[in-house]
Amino acid sequence: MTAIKTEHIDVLVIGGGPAGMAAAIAARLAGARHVAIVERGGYLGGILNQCIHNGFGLELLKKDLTGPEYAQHYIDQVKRLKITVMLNTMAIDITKDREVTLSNSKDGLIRIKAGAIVLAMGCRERTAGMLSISGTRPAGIYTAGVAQTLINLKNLMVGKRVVILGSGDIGLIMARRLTLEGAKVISVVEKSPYPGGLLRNVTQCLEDFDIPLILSHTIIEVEGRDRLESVTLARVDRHGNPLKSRRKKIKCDTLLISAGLIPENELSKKAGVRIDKKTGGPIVDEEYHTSVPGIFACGNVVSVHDIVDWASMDAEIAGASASLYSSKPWHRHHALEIELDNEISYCVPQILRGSRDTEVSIRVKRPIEKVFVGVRRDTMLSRSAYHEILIPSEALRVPIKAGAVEGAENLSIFIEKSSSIKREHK
Amino acid sequence: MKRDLICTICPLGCKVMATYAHKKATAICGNRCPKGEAYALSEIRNPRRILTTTIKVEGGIFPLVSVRTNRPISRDSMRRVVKNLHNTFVKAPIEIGDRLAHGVSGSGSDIVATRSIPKKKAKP
Ligand code: SF4
Repeated sequence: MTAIKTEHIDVLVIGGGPAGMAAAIAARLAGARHVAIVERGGYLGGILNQCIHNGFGLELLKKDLTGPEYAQHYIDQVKRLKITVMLNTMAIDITKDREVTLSNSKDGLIRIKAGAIVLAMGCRERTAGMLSISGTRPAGIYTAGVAQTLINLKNLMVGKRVVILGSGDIGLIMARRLTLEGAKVISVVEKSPYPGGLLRNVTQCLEDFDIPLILSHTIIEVEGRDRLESVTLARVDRHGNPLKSRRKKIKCDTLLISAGLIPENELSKKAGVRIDKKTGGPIVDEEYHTSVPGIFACGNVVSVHDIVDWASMDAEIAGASASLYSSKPWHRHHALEIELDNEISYCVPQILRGSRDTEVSIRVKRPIEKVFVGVRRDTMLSRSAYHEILIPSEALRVPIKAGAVEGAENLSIFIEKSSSIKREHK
Repeated sequence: MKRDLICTICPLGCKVMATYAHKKATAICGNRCPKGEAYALSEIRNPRRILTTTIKVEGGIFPLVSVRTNRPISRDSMRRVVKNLHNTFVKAPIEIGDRLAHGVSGSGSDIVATRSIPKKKAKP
């Protein structure tokens, strides 16, 4: 796999993580001749390499794989399909005419004109600086993902007595990992009244090891001169504001922060791609086409996915669409922006053109029980399904047929309490 | 005693309520299929999990290799198994799927590499 200095590439994929690899493979299988992946790290697979736990691939590959194994499944295909891989290479600029500037230490600057581009840069972690914690900044404070890199890839242990702020999946996974490695995880602290990660992770990472999950609490202060010595825990009210009473100091030498992930879109913005304020990622249609013709996006750069399988599935659509676009560019006029119920925080794709059957991912703002989720076309209910419970940490995929979009003037996704709607579905 | 479990067999994640005494279930409800009952029974009797961890590598391009047990092991033995592996070193190159340790946890399960670690090239 050597770097190249080609002028023209059919499909250029930016990012060599799970989404990027799946997109590149799909593009190649759909007929694109020259497909290349640009990866700024030294290997393919991205974040999967440090996610050594299992539970990957259950949905898509029907196998229970660890992160590195899931990555290998795709790396093998990238090799077999002779996809060009440029490692240690940064994409520094993209124009709306799909001219990309790359840079690496071996070739210096490389300029590429791509038939289509797939953005798959993934996401980054919210850092401690973005949270309002007062006090000193001693050593011993890490984001959960950095701690994961140190422990799982570099063989560096982060501490002995650990508090974790935020119950997102990486925080939960790290609680178990640290415990197995011999550290004492004192508690996982979550500001909202419900856990942020998947329920199966709450069970297998916390309950299995008797690690307390303290809901509706946050950390308001850290103390320590050189090394962290304690954190102060406070209960929060319904709006998330810390209460004056009910504070408690916990002695610990390490604080992990698992405060969520943000799509990495510096590059997308350079290309002039329209960004959705709610997801933090590009607005896409059901082909994962962004607002800039010929530029597609998939995976966590679009919106943070709960499980990697969904990211790979969306990426396959993006890759195949990019391949078609590179051979025969199109321009579609019909575009419907999906309207959302007040209970839904966002959906992806945000726009439908009726070009293919699709699954729209929605995420609710708070847990709701016993509801119907339905799709309304103009004034007609076209489909609805019953759900025992919907929670913010687990997105729901709502299937929508291409036919439902064709000729429609208005399309909305709604949620209704089961008592207020008769079982009129289908 | 009563315990609320989340069945982790499939993504539906049913809430399974189990009533039991002395590790024997007396009533199980909430599961949408029979797998959920089997899951609840084994959770009460002897929960088993796939263990994933890392082992130190000598002479590889990375200092660690990620590993897993080839079958679920008793949850209560996980910490002990990880501790024992702290003293284990393996030599690069390692291929994904290689068996790096045998018969851990006393149950005949093996430790298998989940990533390939090539040898570090000597500097010319
Ligand atoms: S009980 Fe059956 S349906 Fe429910 S989560 Fe378990 S396996 Fe899935």
